[in-house]
Amino acid sequence: MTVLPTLRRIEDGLIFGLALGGLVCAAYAMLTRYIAPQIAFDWVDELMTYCLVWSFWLAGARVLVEGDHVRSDMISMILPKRWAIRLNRFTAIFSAIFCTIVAFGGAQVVLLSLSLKETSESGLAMPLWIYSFGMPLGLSLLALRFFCIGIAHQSVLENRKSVRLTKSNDEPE
Amino acid sequence: MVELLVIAGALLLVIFFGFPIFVAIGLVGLTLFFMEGHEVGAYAQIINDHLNSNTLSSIPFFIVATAFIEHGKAGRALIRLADAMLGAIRGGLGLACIFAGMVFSAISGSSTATALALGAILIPAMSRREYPSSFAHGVIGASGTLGILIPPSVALIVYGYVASTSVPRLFLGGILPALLQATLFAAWVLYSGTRTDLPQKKSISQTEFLNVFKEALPALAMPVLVLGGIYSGIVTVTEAAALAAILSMGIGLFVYKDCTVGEVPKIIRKGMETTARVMIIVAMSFGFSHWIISSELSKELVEIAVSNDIKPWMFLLLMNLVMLLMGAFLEVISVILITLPIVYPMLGPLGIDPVHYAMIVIVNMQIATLTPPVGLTLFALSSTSDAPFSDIVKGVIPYIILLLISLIVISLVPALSLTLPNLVFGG
Repeated sequence: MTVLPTLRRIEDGLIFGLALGGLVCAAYAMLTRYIAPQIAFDWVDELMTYCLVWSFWLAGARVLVEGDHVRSDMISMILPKRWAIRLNRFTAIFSAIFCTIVAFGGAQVVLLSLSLKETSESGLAMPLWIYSFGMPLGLSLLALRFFCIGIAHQSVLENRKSVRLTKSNDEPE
Repeated sequence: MVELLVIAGALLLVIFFGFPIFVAIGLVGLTLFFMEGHEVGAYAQIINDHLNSNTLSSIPFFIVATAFIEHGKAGRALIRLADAMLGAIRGGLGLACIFAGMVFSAISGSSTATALALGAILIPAMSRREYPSSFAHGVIGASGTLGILIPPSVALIVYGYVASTSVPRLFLGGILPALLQATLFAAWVLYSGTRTDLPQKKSISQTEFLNVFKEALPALAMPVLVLGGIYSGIVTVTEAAALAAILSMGIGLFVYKDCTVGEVPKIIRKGMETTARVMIIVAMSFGFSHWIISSELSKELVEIAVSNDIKPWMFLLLMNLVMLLMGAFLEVISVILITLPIVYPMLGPLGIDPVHYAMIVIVNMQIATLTPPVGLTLFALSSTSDAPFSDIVKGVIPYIILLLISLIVISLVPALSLTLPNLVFGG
């Protein structure tokens, strides 16, 4: 999908940066525990998890650009091509609606967290709405991309890698 | 019971219509939530709470480590060493594949990644040595399946989280079953290699062997450091995963020099995208699991099992059939996430150890990755070679039979899964 190249670059940077941040936190926790306990912090593990969760939500949306989420396409394989494309568009729009609903739920969690001024229990006392915001953001981006697939022209769909009728080879078990 | 059948039917229907599996599971979970009068915010809150987990944080690190290994020469070095050790035996490249598969599995945690890494190098190599295509694909596919049984295994981490079972115990539980399977695979390779008169390579000199060994040493050291770190208590599972990612990046950048600093962001991003494919299914299943737990469905099932005097073997037989069937249509993590919350409360009353059950689940899933229509390892193999799909399927059939034999043995002999964990952590 080349509709939003700037968004793609920002996403790429954030996915990498946050994952690297998580890795640095884990390395810091390991090293300080054995080498320099005096500069160890109780919040490093927590920060690592936040970084990874944010990175994962953003990557979840990027997956639709690079390939697809795991799906079983047995029915679309036996359908005539025209109907298979219609079914793909239907599932994409329906998936977009689902992601929008859950993103809305995620936004409610963020608002609640903001109103309660919730913070984490560690020394970092990080406002929890920041952690919670990853979910509505990631799912909104995912919904946006599903909508683009669902309403895009047939030829665009045919050219997209994500509509391939097999599962992703990158999928780990 | 009727509720369960309706839910299972709805879930399968949504999945068959081609919805992404995370949407299918999430949709069913959310509908059940709404039916109980909860709001979508509560559903989102459950997902957020569960994702805030140190155990689950190990998954992205292990997957990033795999992405670096896949990108670089470590796999090639391991296969060269295995070939140097076993290549002189008839069908030796097949044995080398099993050995390299075991070592690679101890780094990767995924059967598809293991099969892809082995296939990319071994399919051309076996073709050059005139091994039959079905033989080559069969042994590579089978060796790939070891990826989810040998620690670290992403599937076992998810199992450990959902069933609140110690991940290091689960990791240890997989070692003897994996050795049993590797032995069965090797016996078949030797038998079919002799029967079909497969070519053998000349033995190599000691100096050559030492050179090959030296080249493979960094790759061999990785699983030793990572698993050694966990079982010596120096690092937690998550830290070990981070260590694996750091080591694989360091080995790629400075030892094998097969990746540049400029490529690091791309490899990490690829690892995170693969993580997202798994984790989004895990995330959406939390709502579903929450409903199963709060609905007391499992309690009813336990009562049915107790009142009908269901024996553990009957239960395991039934679950094996269910999982083999589900595994034919769903991928590994989904099967674990759908069945485990329902089944887990029954294990205690039936006297089945969660580690033993985990191994049974994983072996079922190994078979699932080799069986059409949704055998991910089959698709991975077909993407790395020009061989017809029928050749690949023909090649894996003997190994599916061997995996079924190992499933029966592992189901009937709990000691195989429990001896090592009990030895290290106590019974």
